Amino acid sequence: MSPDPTDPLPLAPVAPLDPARVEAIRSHARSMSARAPLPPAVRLETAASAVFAVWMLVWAVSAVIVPVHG
Amino acid sequence: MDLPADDARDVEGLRRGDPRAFDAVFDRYQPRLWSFLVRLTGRTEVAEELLQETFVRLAAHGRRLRPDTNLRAWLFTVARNLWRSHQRWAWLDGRRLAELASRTWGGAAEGPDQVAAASETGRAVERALQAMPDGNREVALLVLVEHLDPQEAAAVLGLSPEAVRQRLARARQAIAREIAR
Repeated sequence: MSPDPTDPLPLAPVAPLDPARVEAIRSHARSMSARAPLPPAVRLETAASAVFAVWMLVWAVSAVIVPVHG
Repeated sequence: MDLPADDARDVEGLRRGDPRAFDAVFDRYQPRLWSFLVRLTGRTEVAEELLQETFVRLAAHGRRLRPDTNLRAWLFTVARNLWRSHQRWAWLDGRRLAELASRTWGGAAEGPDQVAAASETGRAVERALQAMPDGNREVALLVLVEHLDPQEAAAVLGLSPEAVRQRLARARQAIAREIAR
């Protein structure tokens, strides 16, 4: 009888990572989740700043182009 | 596909930003991802770097996971994509040559130092895994070692189930040939 094509392989387990490194990785990754998302008010402020920056850029470009071509 | 109950519960916890959920997922999947990455990359220092980055991604994206996320497939997808990305950068910065050299495992005793002593059959399987093309090795590791079902492996690798079946068959043949030598 042919083996099931998904039968597990007869492999020895990989030696585990050093426990101190495991904890260092956990701690480092957890510190990333500790960076809480910005509260809604701050997000709104950030979005408003971005819109303002784009508006300023458009204004600055038009201020240069219009005198040159106008 | 039914999701494991633990995973479903922890996805909810991750979405709430519960650190206990992160720890539970870390404890459950760290050994499996480590094993997967060591065999996928052939280099423990690279595996360690990618393992850390995988969990950093989980921490960063945990709150944005969909409630029906297949956590196991998500983690293996991230780990595998990080490896692919690493390969591209390694190619660009010239480290690829050194990696290729270090991955040419000629003999049974030259496998990754982190792989424990195995039976002769086990060593033959390790040799076959390292010698086969990356695409076949990914499928073999996910299905035959990590026991993802072929559909999950297809989702992780972005392949059709038929492509996974073909790669699995080729991997099986390569392993059988190496064992028979």
